[in-house]
Amino acid sequence: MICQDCRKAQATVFLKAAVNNKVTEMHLCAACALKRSERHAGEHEPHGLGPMGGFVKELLPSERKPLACGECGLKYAEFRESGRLGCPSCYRYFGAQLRELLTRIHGSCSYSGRRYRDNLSVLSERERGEKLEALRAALRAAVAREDFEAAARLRDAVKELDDGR
Amino acid sequence: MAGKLLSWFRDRINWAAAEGDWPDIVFSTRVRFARNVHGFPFPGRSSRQSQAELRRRALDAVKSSRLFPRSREAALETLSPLEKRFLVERRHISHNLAAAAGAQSVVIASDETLSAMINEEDHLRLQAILPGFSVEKCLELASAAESGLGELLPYAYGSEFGFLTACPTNTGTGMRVSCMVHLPALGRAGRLGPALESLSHLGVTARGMYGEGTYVLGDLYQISNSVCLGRSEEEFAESVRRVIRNLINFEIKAREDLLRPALRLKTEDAVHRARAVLSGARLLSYEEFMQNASLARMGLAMGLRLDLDMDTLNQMTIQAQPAHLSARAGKDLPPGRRDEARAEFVRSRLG
Repeated sequence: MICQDCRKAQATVFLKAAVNNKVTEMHLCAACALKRSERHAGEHEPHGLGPMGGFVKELLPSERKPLACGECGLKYAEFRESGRLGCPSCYRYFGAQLRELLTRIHGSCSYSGRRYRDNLSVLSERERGEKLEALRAALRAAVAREDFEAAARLRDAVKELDDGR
Repeated sequence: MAGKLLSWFRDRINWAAAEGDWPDIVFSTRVRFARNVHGFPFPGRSSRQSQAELRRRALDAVKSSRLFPRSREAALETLSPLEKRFLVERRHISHNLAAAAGAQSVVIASDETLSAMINEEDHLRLQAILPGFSVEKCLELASAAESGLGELLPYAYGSEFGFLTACPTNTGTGMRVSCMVHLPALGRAGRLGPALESLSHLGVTARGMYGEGTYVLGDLYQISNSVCLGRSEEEFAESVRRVIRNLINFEIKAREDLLRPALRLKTEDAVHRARAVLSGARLLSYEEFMQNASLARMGLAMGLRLDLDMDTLNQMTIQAQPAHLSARAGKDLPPGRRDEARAEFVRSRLG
């Protein structure tokens, strides 16, 4: 994470300041943290502490055309403002932008932690989308050749994958 | 209702004991996992009804998992402001959870080392907290809860990004490992900045709690992993562990410096004066308490005889907070009365 004051150095200090019963969070590099603490010593209220949302906004790529999550309806512009996603499917709808953002935050956008459940939910949203598309194509083909038994089976498979999202 | 929750808690706080590895420098260790349940929008974008449904399912899972035996569960909307502040001070809930107005709950295991927040920024925040420098044990404890609940609730997960969270800073492992370290000598020697700088490439952040003065409250810093995607849980935990080991070495050196002949008398003077304030003050703000307790704590670690033990000091660090004092008094103390009550409480503990 980058220092929110100088926007150059790596942020190593995460400060929580309690001012007038309001807690403010700051991500700073060591040098800027020191500057702030010196400033802070002399006055009652530190200035210019924006919420985290503004911080994420500057890291997020802007959208080329208006984007929204097809599941929860969160607009990309709202996400840029708040820094909070609306639902797990946002990761699919804002995938490209998130890949960039996650790389800037974490230095990586590919998961290498423990694996969870070897079933449908293990599929990445991209894999799930591709699989869904393939099933739908097979369904259309089955309907076209009037193979209704296969079509019913495929329709159920589509539904299961779609619901499991 | 009000007294009921507070009376469930014992006076003694297990995770604040002077136990575990390096108790004279590492106050406590915490591991938390952020998890969401598949098929529900994140709490910030959920209707109250959907939050309530999620809460019901999460509490069912907690119950049938048997991971929280003899636990206490509380719906936040049934709690008084004092009870909420008490839970925040006790580190079982966040300010965010206390301030939320939906269907929030907290579950706390009877020994208080494991707790779960429901409908905070994410559906679930699972936390394990232990005294001293205990990253491995803490990770084990939190992981057991995480995987146990994961068998009963379908977590929002994808193989590309890992566990999906409301805030992208938690995406991936959703894991935060943190140690609360007591660094009075480094801070006084002005070497904290450089020490933290030298650790910056290791992917950790330090946070302190500012009071109104120049020093971070009680010289306590929380060191945690700054990122949680791209490496394994064990690797992130190891980087925090490595940084803490380094900070321990730096702090020990700085403490040794304070005991060199040129500084020894000054150091001992500061420590004994701090001890005298604790046992003599008739009015004691939390900030002043923390500043003096910090020096006394360092003095104990240096082997100075203060007629006081570290466990008592650690416990008081939590117990001398405003809501804890009010709970002890059996009523919500107004700010003007707290400093007096705190001074009385501290004196009674020091005998």
